[in-house]
Amino acid sequence: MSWINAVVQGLFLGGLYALFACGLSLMFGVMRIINLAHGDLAVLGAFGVWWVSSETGISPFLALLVVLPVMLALGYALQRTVLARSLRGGELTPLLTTFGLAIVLQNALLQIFSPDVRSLGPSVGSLATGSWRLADQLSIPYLGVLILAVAVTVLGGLQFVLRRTGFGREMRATAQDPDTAALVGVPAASVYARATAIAVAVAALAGTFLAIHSTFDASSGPTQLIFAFEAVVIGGLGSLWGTLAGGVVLGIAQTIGAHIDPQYSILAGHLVFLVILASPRGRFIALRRAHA
Amino acid sequence: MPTWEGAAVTDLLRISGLVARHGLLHAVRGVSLTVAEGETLALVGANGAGKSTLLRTVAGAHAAAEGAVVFGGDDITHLAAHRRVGRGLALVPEGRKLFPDMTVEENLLVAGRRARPGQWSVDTVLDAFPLLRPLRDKRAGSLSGGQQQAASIGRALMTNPRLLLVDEVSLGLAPVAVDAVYECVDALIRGGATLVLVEQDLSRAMSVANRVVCMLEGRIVLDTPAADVTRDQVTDAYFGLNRVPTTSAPVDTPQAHPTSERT
Amino acid sequence: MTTTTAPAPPGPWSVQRSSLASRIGSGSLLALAVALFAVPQILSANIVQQLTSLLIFLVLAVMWNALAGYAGLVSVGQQTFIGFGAYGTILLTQHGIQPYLAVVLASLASAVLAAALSLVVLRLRGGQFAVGTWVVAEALALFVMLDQSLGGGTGVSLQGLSGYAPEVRRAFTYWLTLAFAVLLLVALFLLLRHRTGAALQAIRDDEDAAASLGVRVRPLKFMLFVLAGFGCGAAGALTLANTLFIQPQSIFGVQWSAYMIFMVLVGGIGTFEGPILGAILFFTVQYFFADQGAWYLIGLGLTAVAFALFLPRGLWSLLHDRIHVQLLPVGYHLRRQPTAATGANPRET
Repeated sequence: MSWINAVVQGLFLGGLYALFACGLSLMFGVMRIINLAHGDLAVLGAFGVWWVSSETGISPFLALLVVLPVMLALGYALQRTVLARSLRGGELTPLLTTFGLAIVLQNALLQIFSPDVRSLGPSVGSLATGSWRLADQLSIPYLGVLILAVAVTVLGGLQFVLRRTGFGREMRATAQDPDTAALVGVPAASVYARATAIAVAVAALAGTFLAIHSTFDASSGPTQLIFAFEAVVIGGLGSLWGTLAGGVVLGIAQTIGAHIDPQYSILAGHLVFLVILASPRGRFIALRRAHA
Repeated sequence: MPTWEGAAVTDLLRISGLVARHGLLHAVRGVSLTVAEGETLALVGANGAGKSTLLRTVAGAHAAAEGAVVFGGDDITHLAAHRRVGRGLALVPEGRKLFPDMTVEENLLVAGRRARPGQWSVDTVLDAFPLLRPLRDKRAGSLSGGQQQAASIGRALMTNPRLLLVDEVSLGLAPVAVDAVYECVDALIRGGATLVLVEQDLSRAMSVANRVVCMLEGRIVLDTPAADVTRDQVTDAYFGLNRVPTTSAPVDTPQAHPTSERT
Repeated sequence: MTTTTAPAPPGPWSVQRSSLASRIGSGSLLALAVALFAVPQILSANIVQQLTSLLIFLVLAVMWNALAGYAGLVSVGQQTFIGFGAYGTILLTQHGIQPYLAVVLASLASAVLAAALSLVVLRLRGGQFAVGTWVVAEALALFVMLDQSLGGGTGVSLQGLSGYAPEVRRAFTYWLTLAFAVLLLVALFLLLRHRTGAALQAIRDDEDAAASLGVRVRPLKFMLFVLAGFGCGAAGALTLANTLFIQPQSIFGVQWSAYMIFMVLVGGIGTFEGPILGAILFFTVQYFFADQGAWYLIGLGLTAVAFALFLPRGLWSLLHDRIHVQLLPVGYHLRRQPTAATGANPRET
């Protein structure tokens, strides 16, 4: 029964990773950028929520309503200024630029907020700790269900936007062929900026749930970037639902690893990722086009 | 800028002294050209003559190094490609360039989203190009060459252009498909559209156009009403055999052999 | 790519591999290398240790540039090999192998590890490769932390060098580092001077186009990845020999990648001389500002971003473009021959 419990907990953890992965996947799908600052932007969002919530005393969920628009604007501005320029510099420049940004963000957060480890868990009361007990060793945490539901909603919403709306069609057209998209009147720069805005806001949402679920500090970003990337690759870079599946596989790998020995938790995730990369399937990962 | 008679006032497009380069390669070397409202202009010339680059430069997909492009009275030389679409300039690019993973209908819709007001919508495009109707929900990448060309022209129409540039109308298409595509083109011409067609097939080009412009090594070497010129005269200009006096920029320093430049 | 005009007719242009500057440059670099070997005889042990870490940075910058500048492989995970080289040395000395020999063997083992990992990570391109290599580094760090005989998470000291007097030990470490630096520079120089150099730059500029022209992309990438694995492994092992103590969090830390990116971007990516310049600049910056903590790293990050956006070919390109200095003859130069008779400009084709 305890093994089943590990799988169930992994499922919920996977929802969190899918949430982290979806912005990464979106930016890669639309612009072919792997944003190496993705995790740090998520942590920035978490700090934003923590700051608003501790300054005003409001719940982190209400603070999110303040922080998300700010992060949307930040993502938009980031693309319009730094990333747009780096995209013109060739394939490697966005990587180098976002890596530089990641270092700046991490250390700026360190400088402003000190290296203290924080958590938003206590501010949401029983939501963070409570669960439905189904059996002796099997329980369903409230927060896990909430995170998974949010992840499914966000991924489904994005999927809907991409498939069914004019803006989504513009994103897909630009992802497939930006030059031709411009020839039918689609402003690629604006599409890119809005895609980045969504990606950064969703990252902040993910960062906030991470902060509620466990702890965070100024240097939490890179680990979250790696988990997000692993989820995207395990999911096969194919679709947003693939990303959800990838996040769940990663989450379950980690909880099963942790069930054997807490030290194996993260390592188990890395190993599943590497095994999938080394498998015959991995050969096609780099070739597969991802458009979210 | 001397023009041929009757085109002075209603010039929709006016190109003057346009130069476009691919790196060190001069693909378009000082081209001046006007297109009047309602005209169908056939742009012919050998591979590498600079036709595609000229069209792409007019559409904003390629940067102009020198010269000016004036459209509807406004200088658009430095306007971004997507803004030119908003002004009513549309290019059907060489190779069709549909968005392969989107359906035919989605290809049309994406172009229609920011369209100028006008007659074209998904329904009117499908009416004009009946062959597309059954393909509406097919992935564009799965279409045949002729179907793709029709869809690509339809997609450009969705922006309600005042001037439609079509690069390589029939290149790489089966004869049956060429007929189908030209039926579409004919329908547009009857509707009074202004068209610039790049076409390798001289006879085809001259059958629909009311004006023929021939390019050679980046310059215009022939610019004449289609009715005033024989196929042989165009062929001569095409290969640079005898220099027909041109109404546009004088052909200076003629070069002995064709370059191997790409367009 | 250049034109395919077969054997050029005796025209007014000729192709040269070296220029006066590059001949003087290679000569003086050689002289400098010889002079550097004499340093421990002259300068204090503290300076020798500082110079050792400068040389280690130099090796890292040159190796990272070999990957990114010539094969288009931006790695954020070269710390895999840095850590592996260092812990490999620990492991070997624990089995009674002399430390300096262990440094060499661990570097070779890093090359073998790179060859094995290449099967997996070279499947990835662009950003995927960047993060993929990073995951490998994290995984290896976690493995090391699990192993109590390697000190777990708390770190481990290099035993077996206590028999040497500190000055002697530092001199030996310095000489070994210098030998590695010279070896790797010469190896890379020969590689670039060889036909593969042009092929490699073609890969960096456009991998698909290079492949379509018949450049065998995979073997070249493999070769550079293994070379970089060897070099970074050596850098890690030498870092251990220089400081005598390592911790998994820092030796496998991503800050190494940050340093490498900084050095190469500032110096000049894709040039032979740029990373050397970058390493010297970075060493100087670190010497003066490292105690500023977070501000120092913010500065490094901002500088790297600024260079990536505004001066993507780095400081060396400024020198190179202004005065056409190239210290080492790794390129080709068109030289006009004095017999140029026809005054016409050659037609661009």
